[in-house]
Amino acid sequence: MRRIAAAFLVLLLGTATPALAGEELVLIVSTRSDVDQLDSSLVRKLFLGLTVTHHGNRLRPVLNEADSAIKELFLQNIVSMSDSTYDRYLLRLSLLQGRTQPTVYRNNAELINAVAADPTVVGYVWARDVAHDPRIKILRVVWHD
Amino acid sequence: MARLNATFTNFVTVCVVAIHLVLLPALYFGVGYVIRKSHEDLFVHHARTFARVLADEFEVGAAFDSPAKTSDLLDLAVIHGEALYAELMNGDRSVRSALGSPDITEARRTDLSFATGGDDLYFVVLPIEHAGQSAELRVGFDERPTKERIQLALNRMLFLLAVYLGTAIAAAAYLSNRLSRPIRRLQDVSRSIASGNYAQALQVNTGIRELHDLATDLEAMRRELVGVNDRLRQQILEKEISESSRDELQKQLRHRQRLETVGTLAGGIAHEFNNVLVPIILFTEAAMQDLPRDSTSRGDLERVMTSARRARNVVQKILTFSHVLGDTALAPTDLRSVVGESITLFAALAPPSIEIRTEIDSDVPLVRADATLAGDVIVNLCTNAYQAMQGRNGVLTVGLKNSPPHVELSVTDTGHGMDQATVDRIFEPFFTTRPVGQGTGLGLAVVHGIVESFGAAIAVETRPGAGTTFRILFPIIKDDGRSGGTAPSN
Repeated sequence: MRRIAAAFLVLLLGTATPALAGEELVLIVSTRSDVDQLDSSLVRKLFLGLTVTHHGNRLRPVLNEADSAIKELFLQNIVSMSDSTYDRYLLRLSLLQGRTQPTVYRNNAELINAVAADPTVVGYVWARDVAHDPRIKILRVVWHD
Repeated sequence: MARLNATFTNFVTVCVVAIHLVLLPALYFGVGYVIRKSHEDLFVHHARTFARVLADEFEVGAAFDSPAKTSDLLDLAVIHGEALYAELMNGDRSVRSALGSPDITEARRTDLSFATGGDDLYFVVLPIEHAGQSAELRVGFDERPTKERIQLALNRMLFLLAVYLGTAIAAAAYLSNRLSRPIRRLQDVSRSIASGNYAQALQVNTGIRELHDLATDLEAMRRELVGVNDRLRQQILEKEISESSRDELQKQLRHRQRLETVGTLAGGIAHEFNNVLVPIILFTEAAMQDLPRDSTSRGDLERVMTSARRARNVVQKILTFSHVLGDTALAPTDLRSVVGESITLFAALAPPSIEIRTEIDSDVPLVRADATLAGDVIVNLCTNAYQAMQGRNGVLTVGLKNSPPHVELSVTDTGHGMDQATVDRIFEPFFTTRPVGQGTGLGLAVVHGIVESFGAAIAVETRPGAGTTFRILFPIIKDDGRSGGTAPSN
């Protein structure tokens, strides 16, 4: 019974995770933003809710949950936490320090529009989704296959 | 229709088992999922954090500067972490910890969730930037300890659920047995009552209110049924007694009608016979007066007179019997004086072998009777008693007792007594146990007729060889002159 359940779980996760061959996860900002580079520690601080400014402007992170692979890659390569730990961390940040939690987008287009509209917003998407978008500037590759 | 082959205990136990067979697997998989997710999440968080710390060390420290330092840091990652594989890829140059598992020849690309890849390894691949150079840190973590902890937790939970299931079944069996015991007790008592044992009380010793109330209600119902049953039994008994009494009354009525028929017939015959006897007696007396005293025919005429007088006595008795069955003029009568006169008359005729005793109360009230006929009754009964004791010594006891609402007149002898067949017929006219010619069979019939004309009752107590007692119950007269009390039945 346990083997069947484990096999079923593996099958379920296998089908839920999209194929990632040749993909790149990139950090993006608006082309109107004067941010050109963010090292990994600043990116991590930004998405952990700490204050990160650039030329006096405070940067605002947005979360992409358009698919599970993006979410897991973000958790592993940017904040280096598990899903539940990151959720608990944000909740604690919100309740104890009164900080605003990052806006969550479950649609890539909406997230890209939000980034393009605000020069202080920093997000992450698949590179192919913004390769030809003139409104978006890629800061760095977070992960590549 | 529901099957009736399951006991209460079995039913409850099977239900508990069935419910748990549905719920426990759901509980097992539900809790198992939570346990698994918790352990996996903890593992993933640990691996990612460890890899991040290692990557940070490469980015800000000096380990990136030389392959030896890189190798040392990677070795430390293997020694202090749970990593089985640690590698830093800098372009085409690769530095790999020699302490890692030799079975792992090449790092897989990054794993995004626990237990993927099928090799018990969780790979984290992080990009590193140091002094304008880009590299890639690849760390592989051993999933087996976490899997073992998960399996251990699941096994413990399975064991606990099995223990719980066993305990639940045992508890269900115990509780259902405790519930069914008073029900079985009620069932046994109900069956006992149904088989006719009404005295058994429907009581159970239980702390369960519903069962206690049920037993109380059933006991109330049993008591009501017992009461109804007793009442029905009493009514049936009364009905049987009533029917028996009615049969007895009908029997007495038929007997009286027969006596009246016989009395009417005998009275008519006696009257006509008396008309025949009168000239016989008169002319025989006249003939005897005309005959000389030494005539040889005088003796014949005297025998004719003797027979004629005996015939007249018989006729007189028949007429008396017939007369008392009709209307009799009754008056308040003091039976003490009647008894005294009758005993005096009878004592003069009784032989010395018969001892006559009287037991007369001093306060005997008046009764409605005819004194002459009452005297005939006493004399007839005494004569009957004397004949029962003839040839032997005996005691004749005449009693008169005030026994409200009656006066009891009794005549007791110590004679030979009678059997039941004789008793059944002693009041019939012309029934006698004496040889033909020695008794008319009218004495007790006349007594019975007289007693009934008084509204009194007569009873016989006798046994062969043990004497006989006749008891006559006269209703006592009330103050207004009417007979009081109920007329006694024979």
